[in-house]
Amino acid sequence: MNAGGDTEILLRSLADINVLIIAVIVLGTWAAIALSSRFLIYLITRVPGRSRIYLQSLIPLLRLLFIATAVVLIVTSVFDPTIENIMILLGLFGLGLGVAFKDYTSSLLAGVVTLYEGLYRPGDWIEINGAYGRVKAINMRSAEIVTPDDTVVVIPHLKMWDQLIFNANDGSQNLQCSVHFYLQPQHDAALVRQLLYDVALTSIYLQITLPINVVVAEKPWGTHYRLKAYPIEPKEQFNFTTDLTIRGKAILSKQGIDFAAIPAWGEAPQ
Amino acid sequence: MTSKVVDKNISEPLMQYVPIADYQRPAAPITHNAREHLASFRRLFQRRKEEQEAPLKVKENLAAVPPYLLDRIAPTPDWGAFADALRVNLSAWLTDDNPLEPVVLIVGPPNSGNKETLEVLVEQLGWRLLRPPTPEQILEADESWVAGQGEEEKRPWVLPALEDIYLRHVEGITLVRQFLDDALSGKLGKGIIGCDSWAWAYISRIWRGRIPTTLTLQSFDEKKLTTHLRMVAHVSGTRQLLFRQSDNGKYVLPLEDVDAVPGETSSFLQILGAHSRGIIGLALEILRGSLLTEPSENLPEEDQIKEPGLPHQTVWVIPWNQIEFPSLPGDAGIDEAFVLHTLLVHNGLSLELLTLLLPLSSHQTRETLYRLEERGVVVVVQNVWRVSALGYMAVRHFLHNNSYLVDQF
Repeated sequence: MNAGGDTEILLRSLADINVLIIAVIVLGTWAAIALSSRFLIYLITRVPGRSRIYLQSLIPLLRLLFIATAVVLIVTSVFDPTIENIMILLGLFGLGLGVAFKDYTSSLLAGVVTLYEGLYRPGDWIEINGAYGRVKAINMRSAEIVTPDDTVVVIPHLKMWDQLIFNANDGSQNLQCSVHFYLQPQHDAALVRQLLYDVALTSIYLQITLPINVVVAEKPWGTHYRLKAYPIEPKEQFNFTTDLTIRGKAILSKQGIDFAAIPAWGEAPQ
Repeated sequence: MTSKVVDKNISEPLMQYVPIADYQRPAAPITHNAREHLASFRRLFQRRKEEQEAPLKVKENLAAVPPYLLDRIAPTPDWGAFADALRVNLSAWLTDDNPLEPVVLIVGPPNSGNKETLEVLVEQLGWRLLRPPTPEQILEADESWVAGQGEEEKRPWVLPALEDIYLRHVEGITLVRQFLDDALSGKLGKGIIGCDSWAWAYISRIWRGRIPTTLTLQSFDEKKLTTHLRMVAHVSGTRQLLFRQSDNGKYVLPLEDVDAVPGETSSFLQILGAHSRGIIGLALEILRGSLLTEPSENLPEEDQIKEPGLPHQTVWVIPWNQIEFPSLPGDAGIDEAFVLHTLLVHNGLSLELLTLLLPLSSHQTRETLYRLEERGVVVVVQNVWRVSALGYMAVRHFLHNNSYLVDQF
C-alpha cells in the first residue's frame, strides 16, 4: 500500500511538470557550458604558459558543475524532493541505466572520479593502452587526446578502472624527456657523459632550473646512454629531443666516438 | 673622486655597490600597480583604452626636445663617477696585495653601465684590460687566450664582460668554465670580473664553483633619480629647468628653490624608478623619450650659453600612461622567445652567431629579428643585435611569464 501511495505521489508530481522550465534549464545549461568553454579557450590563448594549465583544467570542472546544477534543478522541479522520492528515482535510474547502459554509466562515473581525483587534466601528456598524447578535452564519457601525429584518440573513462595510466607531467609544466645514445664500448665514458650533459645544458629548449641526468648502462653490444632533461614547454618535447639528438650526435661524431649499430641480419655487434 | 656623491636629504650615497642579495628593487605607488593590473586584465579582452581627460598641454602642441638639451637633461651617465664609487667600495680589497679572494665579481643588469664602469675603472687603476676572445677561440676553448694578453706580467686585471667569453653552445662553455676555475683559484692573480646579470644567471648554472664576492650597483629609486636629475639639470650658465607633467602640470622634478606644494608633485619618478627596476641607464632612456617642450621655448644652443640669466625653462613630461613602450607581437611564440632570450644571455649577438646558437634556420632567425625590430623591441648597432632599452621590460615580462630563465634584478 505504501509503495502504491508513493507512486501516486510521484505520479501526481509528474502531472505538474513544467516542460517549459525544464527546457529552459537544459538550454541554459547547454549555453553555459558552451560559453564557459569558449571563454576559457579564448583566455588560454592569451595568458602565459604557467596559467594555461589551470584554465584548461577548469573546462571539465565547470561542465560538471553546470550539469550537476541542471540535474538538481530538473529533479526538484519535477519531483517533490523527499527522501522517498529520491530513493525511488535513484532505484529506477540505477535499474534502467545499470542494465541497459552499464559501460556508458561506468564511463560517466569514471569521468566524475577522474575529475575528482585529478588523474589527468587537459594539457597533460598521458599514455593509456599504448596511446600517447596531450589531453585535449575531458568529456562526460571519454577523454580526447591528440597524439604527436595529430590524431585524436577517444578514450572512454572506464579504462581508468583497470588500465595503467602514465601521466608525464601530472598537471605541471615539468615533463621529463629521455634521449638515447647507443655507442661502441671503446670510449671514455666520463667524457661522453660530460658532453651529453653539456648538450642538454646548452639547449635553448631546456628548463634549466630542473635537473639534468645522464644514465649510463653497459650492454653486451656497447654502452647505452640516457640523457634526461626537462623542456620549458611540455608541448616542445619532440623538438627538444630532436635538438638533443642532433647536437649530441654532432659532438660525439666530432670527438670520434663510434655509434653502435645492429647489423642488417639482426645480430648484435661483437 | 669618491662615491660620496651624496644627496643632502638622504644619508645613502647616490652610487653604492652592494651584494646582489641586498639589491632593492624600487616599488611603484600602489595606485599605479593597481592600474597596471587592471590594464593587463583589460588587455585580455582587448578593450579599447578609456578616453583621457583633457590634458593641460596637448601633446601635439609640444615639440620634441632638441638633442643638445636632451643630452643636458638626461645625458649618458658619467661612468667615471660610478667607477669612483666602486673604487671606494673595494678600497680595502684593492690595497691588499694578497687578498683572501683573488677575484671580485661585479654584476649588473642590461643598461646599468656595468661594462662601461669597469672599462673606466681599469684605466683609473692602471690594471690590465683583458680583451675578449674571438668566437672561434671560444668554440675551440683556446686557453692561450689569457696567456696571450701578458699573463707573465702578473699585473692585476679586469675583464669587463664575462658574457663575451662564452657562447650557449656545447663547445662554447668550456672556456668560461676554465677561466673561472683559473681565476677563482688565484692562478691568474688578482682581478675583477664584470658580468651582465642575464649572462650570470646562465653562467652560474653551467659552472660549479665557489661564487666570489659579488657586488652590484644599488638601484636608483625615486630619491636617487631626483638627486641625479637635479645634479645634471643645475648646470651653471644655463637656464634652470622645470620638469612638469603635461596633463596636469604637476612637478616631476621640483626645483630646490621653488617651494613644493603638497599634492603638486607628480609620482612620475617613483613609477619610473619602479618600472626600470632601479636600472639607471634604462630610467634615463625612458625619460629621454618622454620629454617635450613648447616650440617657443627652444632657444638655439648658442643663445643658451650667451644668456645665462634667463628664467626657468619648462620641460614637459608625458604622463606615464601615455608613454608608448615597444611591445611584443600579440602572437609572439617560441621563435621570438628563443631569439630574445639568446640575445639577453649574451648581451647582444651578431646574426651569424645567433644563427649558430639557435635551432632555427637563418631565414627564420632573420625574419624574427626584423619583425621584432619593426616593433622596436630589438635594435642592431654595428652588426650586433640587442634588446632595446625601451623594449627591455616587455621582453623580460614575456620571458618570465613563459618560464624562461631570467636575471635576479
